[in-house]
Amino acid sequence: MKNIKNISLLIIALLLFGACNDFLDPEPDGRRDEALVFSEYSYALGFFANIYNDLPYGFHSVDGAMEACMTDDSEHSDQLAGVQNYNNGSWNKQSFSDSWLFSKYYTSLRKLAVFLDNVDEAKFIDPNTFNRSPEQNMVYQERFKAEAYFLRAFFYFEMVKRFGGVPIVPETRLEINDELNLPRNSFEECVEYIVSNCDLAAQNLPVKDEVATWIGHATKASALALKSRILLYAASPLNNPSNDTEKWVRAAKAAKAVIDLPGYGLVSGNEIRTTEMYEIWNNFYNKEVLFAMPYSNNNDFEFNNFPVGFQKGQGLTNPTQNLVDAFEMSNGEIISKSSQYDAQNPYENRDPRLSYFVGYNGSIYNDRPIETFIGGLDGLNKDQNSTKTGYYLHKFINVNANLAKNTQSDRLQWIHFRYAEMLLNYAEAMNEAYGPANTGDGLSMNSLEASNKIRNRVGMPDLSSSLNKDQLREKIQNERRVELCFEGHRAWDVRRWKKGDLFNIPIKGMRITANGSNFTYEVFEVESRVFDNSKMYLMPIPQSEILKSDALEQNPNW
Amino acid sequence: MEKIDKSILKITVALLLITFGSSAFAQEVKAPQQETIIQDNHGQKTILDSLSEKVNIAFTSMQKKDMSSSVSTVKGEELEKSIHPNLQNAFIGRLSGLSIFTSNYEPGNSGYEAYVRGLKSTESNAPLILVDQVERDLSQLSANEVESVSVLKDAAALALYGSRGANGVILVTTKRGKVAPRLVTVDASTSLQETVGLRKYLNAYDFVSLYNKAWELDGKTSAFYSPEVVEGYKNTVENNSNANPYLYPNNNYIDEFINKYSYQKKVDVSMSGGNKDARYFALVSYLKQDGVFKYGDVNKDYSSNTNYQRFNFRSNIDINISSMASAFLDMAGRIEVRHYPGRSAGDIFNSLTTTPSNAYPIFNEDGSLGGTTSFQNNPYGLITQSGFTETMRRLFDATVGFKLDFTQWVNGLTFTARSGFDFNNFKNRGLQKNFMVFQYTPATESYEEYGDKDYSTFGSTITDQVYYNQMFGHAQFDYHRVFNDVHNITALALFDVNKRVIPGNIPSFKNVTFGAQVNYNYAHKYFLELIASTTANEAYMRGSRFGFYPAAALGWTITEEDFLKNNPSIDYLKLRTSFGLSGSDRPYGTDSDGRFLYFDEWSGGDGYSFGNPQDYIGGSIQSAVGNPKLRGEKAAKFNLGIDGELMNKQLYFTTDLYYEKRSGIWVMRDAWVPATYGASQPLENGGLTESKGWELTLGTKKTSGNFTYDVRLMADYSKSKILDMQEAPKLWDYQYSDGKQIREIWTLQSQGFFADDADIAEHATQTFGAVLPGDLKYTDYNEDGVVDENDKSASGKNSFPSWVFSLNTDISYKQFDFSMLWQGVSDQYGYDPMYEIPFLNKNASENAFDAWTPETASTAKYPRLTTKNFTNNTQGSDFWFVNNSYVRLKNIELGYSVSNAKLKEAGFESIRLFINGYNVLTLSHNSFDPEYPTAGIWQYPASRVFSAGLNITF
Repeated sequence: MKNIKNISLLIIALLLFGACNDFLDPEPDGRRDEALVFSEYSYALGFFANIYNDLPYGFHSVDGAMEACMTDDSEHSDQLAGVQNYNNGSWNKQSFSDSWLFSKYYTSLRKLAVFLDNVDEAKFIDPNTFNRSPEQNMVYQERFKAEAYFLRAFFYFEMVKRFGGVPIVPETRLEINDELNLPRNSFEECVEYIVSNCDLAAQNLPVKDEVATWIGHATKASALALKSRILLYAASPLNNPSNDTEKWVRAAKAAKAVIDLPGYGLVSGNEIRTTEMYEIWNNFYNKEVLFAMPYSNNNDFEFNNFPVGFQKGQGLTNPTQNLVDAFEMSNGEIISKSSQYDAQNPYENRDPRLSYFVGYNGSIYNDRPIETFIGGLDGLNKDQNSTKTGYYLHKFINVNANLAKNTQSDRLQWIHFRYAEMLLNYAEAMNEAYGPANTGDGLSMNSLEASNKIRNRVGMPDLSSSLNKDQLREKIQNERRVELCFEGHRAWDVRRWKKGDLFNIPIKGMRITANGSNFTYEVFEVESRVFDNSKMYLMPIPQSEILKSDALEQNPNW
Repeated sequence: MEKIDKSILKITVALLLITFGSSAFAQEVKAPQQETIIQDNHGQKTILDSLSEKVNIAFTSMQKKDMSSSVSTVKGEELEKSIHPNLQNAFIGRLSGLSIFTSNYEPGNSGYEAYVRGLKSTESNAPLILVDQVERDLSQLSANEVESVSVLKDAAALALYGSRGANGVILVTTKRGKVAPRLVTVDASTSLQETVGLRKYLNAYDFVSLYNKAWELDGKTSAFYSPEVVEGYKNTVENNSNANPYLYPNNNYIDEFINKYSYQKKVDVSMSGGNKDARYFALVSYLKQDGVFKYGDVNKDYSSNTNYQRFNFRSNIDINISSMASAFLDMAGRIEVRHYPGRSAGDIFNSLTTTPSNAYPIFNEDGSLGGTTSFQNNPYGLITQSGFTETMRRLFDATVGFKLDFTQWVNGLTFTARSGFDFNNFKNRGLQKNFMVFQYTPATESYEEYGDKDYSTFGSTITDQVYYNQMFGHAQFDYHRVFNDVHNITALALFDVNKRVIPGNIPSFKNVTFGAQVNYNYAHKYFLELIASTTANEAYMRGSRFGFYPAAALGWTITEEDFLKNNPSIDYLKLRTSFGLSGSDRPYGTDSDGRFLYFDEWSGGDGYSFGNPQDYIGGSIQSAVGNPKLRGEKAAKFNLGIDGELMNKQLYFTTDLYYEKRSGIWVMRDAWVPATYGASQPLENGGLTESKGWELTLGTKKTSGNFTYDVRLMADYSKSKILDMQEAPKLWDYQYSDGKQIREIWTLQSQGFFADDADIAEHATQTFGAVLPGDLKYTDYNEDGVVDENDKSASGKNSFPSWVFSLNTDISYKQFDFSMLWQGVSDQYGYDPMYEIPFLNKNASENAFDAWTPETASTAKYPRLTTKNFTNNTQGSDFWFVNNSYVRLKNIELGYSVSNAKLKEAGFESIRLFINGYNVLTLSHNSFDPEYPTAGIWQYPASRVFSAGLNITF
């Protein structure tokens, strides 16, 4: 009797608790979960699109500044910006502008792991299409998988160029109870991992997209271009101290593989001369583009970089005299050795790219010659934002933009890889591997030929065929600096060349004084720069991460 | 307004019908005159025999002398002395262990923070607030409808609330009818609110002179304001005959736009009575509180001044159905009408206190509003030309229940059940307008215009929405029996459920409680209480929802022992202790989203454009990883207390020592999971804190003839400590919060001002902008040669006071009664709310006179004047610390009662007249309001209130 009572009480209690649990469960509120995200095509596409969005955005990637502003090519006019710490040497393992990228890219890698986990079951097309032809969905699945390998390679590359070898995480997502105390892989292991992912991607990607909606997705050209760049970095002095020629051969072959792809090439000389090369960044996925990130159709970049004399122009990116001096005379002579160079008329008879890339006194923006002279509308030291060097950025900029009314905007693209870079990669690797004029291993074009292609299309004369290997190296490095300025190369090129002292040289500017209608030009020192050769070739692993995991080793001397 | 009046009218009529109907019913059944009513005249009765007074505790009530738990209480009559519309302000200084801090003074805005026994958690410390055992807002109740307020403090008192109880419970119980003839009480008062705590700002002449000084200290060579301009302002300020106030304006915005005095009135009518078959209590109350803004009446169609109107009603009815069954029906409602200017009080006060006094003439010569491109917020425009917003909130609560007495079958067993709903909606009405300001340019003799051209109405809104609806149910068995005259047993078992439905796609808030309690005492001498509950809410995953919360208490009334029984000087002495568990299951508060954290969160995110032409694809991401095992916080509490009455009950005291360990505080595992994992980690139950404290109530009271007095001192001391927060590895050992207090202030240490360039050169490099002599110099705490964020260290000082105390005096002599409440806190610190640097595109207070200049370097109180955006001097540092201890004369009241045969003949029981002061006097180290430092600076100002009124009983 007592037992029955107890049992019935227990049953009542259990029923009550069960009922309570039903009562307490939350009402449906449209919450998403993983299964829903990958079965609902708009969410699944969105998940993949979001991973693309994690790629670096070079128009303002270092705390709002362009990467060029952490090099001897440029100064950032906002003196309080985070990028200045790279220049004055005050960056440290606790804080520097790029420190967040370490965790950012691992977050991106986890997204890729989640994506690849689900991709074989995921739906990327709307239900109607799916019902009609489910095989279409498989096209997406296979294509996206290959793009994911490319993205994985890209995220590792972005880390490796900054930090050296980093931990290679498992390709399935890490669980919280897994071993999380991961050591760093060597630089070489990372390079091979990046290369293998590029190869895997290239196998299954089309050479070039012709369908309008696919343009902007990674292609075989994108994957092979990344492979070319990482192998060039791997062959460079910083990472190839024994100067193993084989590494250069491998780099040259990787570059040549892209150069030989059908459908790509340099935008023609005529075209770029009429548009001052603006065509390359404005014409979405023209034939020079191997991989680019679209930028919205607005004037944001122009607001940042228009000279300050224009309403709302902030004049942030200021090219240095150091960069301006790197542009040759139009006859191919370097200015210090040219009789044509007139220090009081310094922009005359120069490599035409100088006027395409750099805004100097008299350059035309929005139908007005800019005034960088002391007291001019855009003049040196006119106010807090005005140019610190006497120059403004001209490359990429839509000079027709009307900032006051915020009209006349254009769509820009941030080009991660373009054909010209591949030629330069090739020229550099060929010179190191075989010398200026030689070929080998089935590589038919020599270093000089590749270099001259870049020069000829802007009307610059051929390099002298009498240059020796060392002389040509200087020329190619200068050509790379000039052609690819502000495109996010200089900071890493100088490091991989182990020429850190370039970042110890003070940056200079041009002070122009107006006397009536005449101008007096005077080069002045803008600021001294600091680069500690003992450690700054690599960035430190953020100290917060070192503290969290003892398997993670800090870079030397940080 | 018409609509509001109508609904007020309807509800009034309905209410009157209900109350008079029920009172008529009660009267019909002729009440035998069986008991003489003891009229509680303002709380004195509660003092005199407090031990046998029934105290409301969790789901029941009990005589104080039979309790072994820690509970403080106050009677509604005592709360009526506080004239402030927000009920919680009446608790200040009247309930031991409870601290209340106002966080908004705007009429109708009841912002406040409540703490029971100080800080216990690094997350929410908000106590559970119950009105008649249901979670409801208490702040807009009229004190006249409150029978008592209990604050439950220890494990034994809180155990039945389980996972909701760890932060303490404030229990408001409304009045019910008693077996007594009908008694009608009318309370009416009218009050004058005096605006206080406003700062003084520089006049235009001082402003431009000091601005020039700051300009010079910034290294500029030519003066910002030329001598002629300075002279121009001087003329205006001195009101000289050649003054041109349009060109050289001088505004004292505070004087111009803020009324020194505003009004408040309140009328309460309540009625109660009944017989053994039916009892009722009913109340209607009306309150109107006016705002401080001048020019609120310049618009014909509407007021743009702040005002708050509140209309309360309540009807609590008990009816005996048969010898074993009784029923009750409780209904209460409120209409709250908040009428505010079109722009918020914060916007208006920002304009009043940050606009330089020379910014513009409020009115230009042509009558248009003044303004410039940087200063377009002309206060006249903000107050009078921005429209208004009016929110009418309507609440209706109804509870119906019954009680069955099973004594005929099981002696002492009863069953009570109740159920009900709260209906809570609001209606917004408003008119939003923009205005333009004009600046006269003498050179062109024309006006430049600023602001939105669309001068006219751009939004007129009426919306009607549900705020929330709430349903609840409760079932409870009670058992009470005495065996052999000495074994007293009281027991209960209960089930309680509550569901709050919020409109929109938001899962509702739910709570479930199963609880049981057994109290045993042997001859009121030895006491044992055993309590346990299991509770859950909707926020956690099945399996992690229900928690078990047991507690026990022991008591020993020593004065019941033979050796003390007839001791002449010790009348009563009781020792009690309790220990047990309780929980805090909404660590992020009741309104926020700290719920369903067991789910992985998937949401929208940044997208990407593919294609040519481009086609943007909206992103989708996993935004959070869930933790299925997440629970609320758990608290282990211990309490030790002594109650006593000495010297013929002239001296009485209660003191408690307590200790609590709070575990399972939510922490992020992020802190120690490497970034290579690739995702943010969910919250986990990882944090550990402890808190301890001491409470004392010590009083003395006496009645001799016509003279009665009662003086009580209350003092609460509390201290918290973080034991473990599972923080990420830090760069420096001193940066861990372990071992520090909860809410300890972390700050730089200042060393005064830099004397000169040599001083700057010698000192560690400060990284908050280039410093000059006169700027603040900070200690390089970690001695790494650089002063930066890493040099912030725990100051040992807390923004929460260690001591909260009050002194309460009640005196009556013949027909006069007098009461006075002093209240204060100590060991509380904060930053000076005005630690801005003058001139940063801003007005400057008179502090600017004491700023550093080379000439005043030795006497300066504030850092160097500057016109630059310069953050070195505004870093959080102990330089800006202020001791925020204070003592306040919270309440003072003098009353005169008339009660005589003539009045009785006329049908009146008594008439009492009173004058009352609220927040009359504040003694502190600072000029700002100590409870809410930014009041009157960036927010609606504080006030002190003087009132006169009468209480009529008939």
